[in-house]
Amino acid sequence: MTMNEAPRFSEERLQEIQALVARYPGPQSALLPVLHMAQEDFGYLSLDVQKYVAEVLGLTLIQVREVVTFYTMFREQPCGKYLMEVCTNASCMLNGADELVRHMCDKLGIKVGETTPDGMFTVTEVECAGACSGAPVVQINNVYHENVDAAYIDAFIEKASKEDAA
Amino acid sequence: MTTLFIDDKEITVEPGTSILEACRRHGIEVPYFCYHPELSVAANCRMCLVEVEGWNKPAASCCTPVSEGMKVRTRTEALKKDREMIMEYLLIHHPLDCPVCDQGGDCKLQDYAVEYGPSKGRYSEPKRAVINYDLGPFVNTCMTRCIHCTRCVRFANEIAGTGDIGVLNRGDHMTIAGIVEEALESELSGNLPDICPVGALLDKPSHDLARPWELSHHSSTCIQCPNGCDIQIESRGEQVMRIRPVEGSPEPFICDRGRYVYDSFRSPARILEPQIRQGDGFGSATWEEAFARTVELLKDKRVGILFSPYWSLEGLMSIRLMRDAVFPDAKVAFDLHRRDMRPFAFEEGFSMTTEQIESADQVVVLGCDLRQRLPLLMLRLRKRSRQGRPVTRIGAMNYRTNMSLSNDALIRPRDWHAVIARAMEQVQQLGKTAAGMDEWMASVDGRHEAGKLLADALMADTCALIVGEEIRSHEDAASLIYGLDLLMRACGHAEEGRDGRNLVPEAMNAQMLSAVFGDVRASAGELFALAQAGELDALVLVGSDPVGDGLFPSAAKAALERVPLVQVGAIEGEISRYAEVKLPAAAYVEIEGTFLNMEGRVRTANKPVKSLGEERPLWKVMMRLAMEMGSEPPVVSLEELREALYAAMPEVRDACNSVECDACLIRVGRNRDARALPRKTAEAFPLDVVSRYSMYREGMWARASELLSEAGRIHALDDVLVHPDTLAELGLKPGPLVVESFLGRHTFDIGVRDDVSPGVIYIAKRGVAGDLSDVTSARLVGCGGDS
Amino acid sequence: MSMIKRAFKTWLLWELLVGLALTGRYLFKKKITVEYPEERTPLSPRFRGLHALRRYESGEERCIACKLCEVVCPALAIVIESEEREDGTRRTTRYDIDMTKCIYCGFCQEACPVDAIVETQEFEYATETREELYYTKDMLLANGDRYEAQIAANLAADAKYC
Repeated sequence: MTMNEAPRFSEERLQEIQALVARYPGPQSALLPVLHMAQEDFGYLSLDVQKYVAEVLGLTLIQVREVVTFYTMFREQPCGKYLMEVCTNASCMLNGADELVRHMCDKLGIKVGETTPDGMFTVTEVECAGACSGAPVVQINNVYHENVDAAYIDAFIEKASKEDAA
Repeated sequence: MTTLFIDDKEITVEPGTSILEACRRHGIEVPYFCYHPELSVAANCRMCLVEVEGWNKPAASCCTPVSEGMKVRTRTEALKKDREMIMEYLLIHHPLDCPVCDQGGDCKLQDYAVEYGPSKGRYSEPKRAVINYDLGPFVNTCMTRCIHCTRCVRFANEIAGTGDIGVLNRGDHMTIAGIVEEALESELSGNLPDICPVGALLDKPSHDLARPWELSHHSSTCIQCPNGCDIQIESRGEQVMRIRPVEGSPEPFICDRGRYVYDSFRSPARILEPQIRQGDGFGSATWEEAFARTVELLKDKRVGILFSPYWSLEGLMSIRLMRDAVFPDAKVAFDLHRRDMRPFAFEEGFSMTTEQIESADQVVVLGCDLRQRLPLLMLRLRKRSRQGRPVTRIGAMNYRTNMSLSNDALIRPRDWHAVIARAMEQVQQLGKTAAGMDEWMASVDGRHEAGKLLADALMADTCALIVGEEIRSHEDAASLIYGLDLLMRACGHAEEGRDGRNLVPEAMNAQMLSAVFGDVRASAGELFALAQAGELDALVLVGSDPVGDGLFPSAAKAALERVPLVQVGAIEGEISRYAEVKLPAAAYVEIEGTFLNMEGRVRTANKPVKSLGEERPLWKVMMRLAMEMGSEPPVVSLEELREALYAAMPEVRDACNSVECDACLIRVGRNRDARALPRKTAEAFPLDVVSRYSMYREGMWARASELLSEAGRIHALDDVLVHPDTLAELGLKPGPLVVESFLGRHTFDIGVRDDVSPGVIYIAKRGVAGDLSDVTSARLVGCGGDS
Repeated sequence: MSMIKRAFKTWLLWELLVGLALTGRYLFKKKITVEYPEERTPLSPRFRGLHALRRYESGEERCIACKLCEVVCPALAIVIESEEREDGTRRTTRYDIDMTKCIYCGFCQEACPVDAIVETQEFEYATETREELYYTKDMLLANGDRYEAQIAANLAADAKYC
């Protein structure tokens, strides 16, 4: 999807949404899964996407905005191709998550929450990912990478950059 | 009934009542922020905690229903500590700016902080600041002060129905935000500052002008619509600062029109001294000089009297007494929106209270923009629809209601007969009929499917029929209303106790007007026609503005070019430029008086605001006029005048003396022998004209108010609207088009909108398209360029 | 006996002598009177004299038009009108004190949350007409500018007892 194009779900998606809405007593109940779909399809939930979701479900814009701003997993800003979410909660922190974050930021030249200028990597901190046994944990595009250290991250970044170049 | 013990006091309440509500009703104080009796329960402030014996945790009393034998404690040491902690939390991010906050002195948070809060806060970290957002001309925001009770969110969702305020983010970052363009899309937006328990939402027009303790309170009645809400006027010295609803009255909220009209009380348009025409302008005069000129104009002349229904009952009675004493033959008119003056089978006024309408099984709204016309009744319908009860609407325009209607049909005004006939057919098929129905049906040729919706609704046990101005100002209104009366009688909705016939009146005091002026009333149009034909020598206009309002502006202009005008009133209208003499009469907030609202509720205004100039109560002006004209004044004191009023309407005396106001509702007039059959006249032009009543523009007070004019600008529609199909059929495009009617050809900027019924020209801005208000049908011809 | 004693005292002007002795004693004692206006008594930092409206160092007036002084004034000597200034802050458009009504109780300065209205140690402002005693906002602000050093010193002197 290019930036200027008005967001539209595909036909299949719309059917999926319809089936979803039918499962609940009201369309508002289907808002969370539909927002996840929208984020998957459009990358992030811009105001236009939120308006479109509101239109599809017959809700007001503020109802959608309330949910989007409440949950941290909904993004209102575009993020990089690789979203790296570092857990900095107790277990990970004790195992060096803070240093890891600092290292990642230094390496990529960005601050927490920012995206590299080439649009490849975004680094964020998250609360407990629920994988304390493998602390520190980095979730990269919904995949857990456990016992991560600086070398592992360097290798990953290297590999990802190469793949992208190819 | 459930009996429980609160602080060892035995209390009996209805089952299902919350503990908090039980406490409120029995004068036991429990602090709360987020609870509001008119809103849903959110239970998020946690301030209303109480202890219930046997429960190991304190309960939020607003969301805990009472149960038999429950033992509740509202004042214990543990609760004191809980409340102290809650107050400390609420105050963490609340700024200490009470001295500059308008709420200061009238603030729940302030009061509770003193009563329940800790004496010292322990929070020393930086406080947060929140960005304000713009909610339009009536509501000022200072969101840093917000304590997130979400009353405003619930108000926008449930009462206003706009749903444009919500809660963003969470935890420490939680903010209330509105998604609005220029202003809240609500006719009730002025209630938000009242709803807000702290100073986050404040009244914008009076912002930073006064503190609560400086204001003196006057109780009065709002006359801006037939609902006639009880209002409390707050003034600082002589200057009115705010108008607010009265706690405990049947209307918990008031509309923006009634609330913000106050700036017109001091507008330059007020008539504050007698004035006499001098050339093109006016010069101030003494009462003697002004009356001398008046007598000169009226003595031994054929006079027509036109007045506004908005005066108090006493004022209206004095008009009648003056007329009988001085001009016994004069024609009197007060309706600017009624073309058909034959008696209606059910006269203007409501036979149900708004509470009854809210709880009726079915509600049918016929041709009425209730949201603009009766915002407080609209609020009740919205409440109804939230409970899943049906509301059917039939009319020429899909008026915005901020609620979902169960049934909706767009029709042209000329189809009303066919709609009613179709409903009669269906009702008869189900074996319900009334004498006269066959005859009525036989005189209508067509049938319109929208009648089915009407008939369906009529089958319910209780059905409230709300008949609006599209029918009341119809040229054949008497027959339509007779038809509806037949339908209601056939379906048993006309019996005592189940009477559902409600005709939205033009203004206040409708029951009194039909009772007292029934024998002398004429249509305003008729009066103007007589003046134009030279059968009248002068017009006396007591506080109405037929040039600015109503359906006869061009007739009024033509008439007034011919005959001199004596204007008596509190405020000038477009009419004033025709006046020869202007006599000041006190405004509705400046008098003691009695009023009647559409339900027949008697309202009294007993603590008036001080007059600004030389204006006198209307009855004094009328009696002085009678005296100057050489007759004995019929009454010389307010008591005598009231006696005259009670003699004409004894039920008003009973209602005034009764403590329980609802028990003595004044009944609406019924004309059992008003058997008007549909006329078979073809309309002269193919398109029907319907004009919009706008709460921000209609009436002299509203037009003189800058606040309402600003709101009117924001909420304005295009000047004249038609359905896109109407234009497509004619092969025309939106833009300047020529409208041909019996008044000739005029060019108007025509817009398109799906909400208008095909075949209808809808005048959204009556003022702009002024002259078109006179016509009922017209034709669109070609582009405007060539005319 | 007492008769004789009384006659003796009367004829010898005894009381007069006692009185003159007292006068004579004070004639040589240290003087406690001051010759106002050349000489002045010291004033307490809490002395309540002429009112002044203060400014912040930036020149911004302190008064925020909360009207607490107006409402607390037992003599109803203060009249305030307020409005929202263009920058969105709440300010007075009128701040009048009628010095002929004022009873110098000091409640206004007690009530003021921003130390805007204060009473200075100035008490020599007698005028020839009553009108001159109706102080407007400009006059009060001018007072503030004139006496700021004195006010600040008094507040500092009194601060440890607040």
